[in-house]
Parts: sequence; C-alpha cells; structure tokens
Amino acid sequence: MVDLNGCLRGDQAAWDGFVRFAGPVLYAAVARALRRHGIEDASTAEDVTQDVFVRLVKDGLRLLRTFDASRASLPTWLTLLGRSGAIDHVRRRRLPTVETDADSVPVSPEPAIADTPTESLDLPPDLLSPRERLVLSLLYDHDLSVAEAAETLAVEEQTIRSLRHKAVAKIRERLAGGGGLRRGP
Amino acid sequence: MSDSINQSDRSAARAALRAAGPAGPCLDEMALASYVDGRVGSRERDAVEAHLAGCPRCLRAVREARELLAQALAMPPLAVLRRAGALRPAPKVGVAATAWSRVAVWSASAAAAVVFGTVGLLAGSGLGASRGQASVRTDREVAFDVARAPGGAVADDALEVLLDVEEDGCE
Repeated sequence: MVDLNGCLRGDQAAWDGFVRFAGPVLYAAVARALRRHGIEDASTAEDVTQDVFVRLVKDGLRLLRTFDASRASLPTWLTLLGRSGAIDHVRRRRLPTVETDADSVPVSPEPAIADTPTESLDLPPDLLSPRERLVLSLLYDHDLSVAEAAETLAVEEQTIRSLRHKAVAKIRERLAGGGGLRRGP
Repeated sequence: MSDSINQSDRSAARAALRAAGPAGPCLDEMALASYVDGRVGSRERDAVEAHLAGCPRCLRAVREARELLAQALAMPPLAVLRRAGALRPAPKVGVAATAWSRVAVWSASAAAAVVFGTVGLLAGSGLGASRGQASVRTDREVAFDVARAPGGAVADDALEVLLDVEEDGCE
C-alpha cells in the first residue's frame, strides 16, 4: 500500500514504500520509451528514472502533489511521467531519430489538404463532435487501422466504424446542402 | 461497413479537422492519465478528445501509455531504487518549519538501506547487485551533496540551476 500522504508529510518509510512501488513502473516506462528511440543502455534508463524521481520530490514534492487518486491510477500516471522523462532525455540529446519522429511534428499541423491550391472546404468548427473529429484524425491523418483506432480510444471496432460513418455523413450532408465548397485560385 | 479509405472522405475529413482550429497547449500527465484510465466525465472526455484530434504529441502519449501499461513491469536495477530511496522527500510547509525542511531535504538516510535490502531480496543477486556498484551519479545527485554540505546552497536552489526539465507540457 502506497502512503502518499505520508510521502507528502516527509515520512521516510512512506517514501521508501513509494520507491518500491514506483521504481518498477517508472523504470519499465522509461526503458521501453528510450528503446523506441534507439537508446538501449541500462545506465541511461537508470539516470532518466532517477531524474523522474527527482522531479517528483523537487520543490517540496510539487509534482507528486499534483497526483489525484480520484482522477487516475498511480501506475498510469507514473507510466506517463516515465515516458515523458524519456522523451525529454531524447530531446536534450538531440538524437537524429528525433528529427524523423512524430513528436517533432508541430502541434496542430495543417493537414495536407490545406496545401491544395485548387479546392478547399469551409466547414463549421462544431460540425463534428470531439470524438468524431478524433476518429477521423486517427483514420485519415494518422492512417491508423480501425483496430488501432479502437485501441486508442479503448472502444470496440464497431464503435469506430459507426463514428466514422456518422462523421462522414455529416460532412457530406453539409456539402450536399450547398455549404462548404469553395473554389480556390 | 467497409474499412477501406475513400479519398474524397479523407479530403473532407481533413477539412473538418482543419475547421476545428488549433489544439491549444498540451495536456499534463494527470489529464492524460485520467483519460487513459477512463475516469473522465463526458465534458472532460470531450475536451481531451478535442485536443487529441489536433495534437500528435498528446495522442502519441496516450497510445504509448496504453501500450506500456499492457506490458509487464520490469524490476529495475537495484541502483535505481537505492538512489531514489536516498531522496528524502521534504514537504514545503509554513515558515516555522522552513528551517527543518531545508536541512532535511535530500539527505540520504538509514531507511534507504532498508529499501536496498528489501529490494535486493526481490531482485535477486544478479542484475541489481552487479549494476549497483557501477551506477553513474548524475549532475543532479552531485547537487545534493552541495546542498548537504555545511554552508552549502539549499537543495532546491541547486536543483533550480541544474534542472532544465520543462515542467509544463506533456512531454
């Protein structure tokens, strides 16, 4: 049992218990995330894991205090922290792999269609629900399969197909109604 | 319903995505973890998914987190637990306790040895024991020594100098 309140009070035994629990979770996340970027040596994984622990306790345990057990499980949060620590490390080292990695893509990149000079579509921003937009993004921007998209959203594949169908139908209906089509130069 | 990708659907989908506008700042790990665990309400879920639709970085974090969580844990080298155990957490409390917290921070303790021994039993004598002696100290841990030295800087101050990890953003 992890005693987070004890950790926040500065209790060493509680911290020891936290380290025993968090160590394997963080290390696994860090090592595997580093491996995805071509970094396989154990000493780097050790150092990055330690960096994450330092982040947790730094500044009066500021980061650890942000954990909210009512919002997420501790392993999930730690896994994301470990992965972030690994990505930070990769960026600092400026490995060549970063340049070709999807993480180097700017936030909200313009989809390819925006570069098409002959035709574009004007659609209202709220035409689709957030989930419908996400499904279209997964399928058409990221080229994921239906199965991969379902895994990403933790839903059944049929749900993905249904959301895609609804979203595309909404767009077609909008276009059929005369709205949205604009000829470019 | 076919899974094949229709090119006109793709163009229309991208136009709809573009119409939604920019994704905004990246989500923090707590928000992402909450989403991954399915503990978000409908309003928060909409907000997260609206962001994910336009943010490849956060989307990648969610996908990789799910993948990582599906895999077995790995017992870390003993040195990892020993070094982390040596970080004594020090809460920032009121002014009256400030002196205590500054003196106490980061000091290695006897309890760390308990961690060392306990985990040693779990990890066995191979991997952990061999790696424990060869552990490389990071700059940040050197900073702890500075902080512990008589008249030395406060640990947090030393960390501020050395710690260049971005605190904000998802990665």
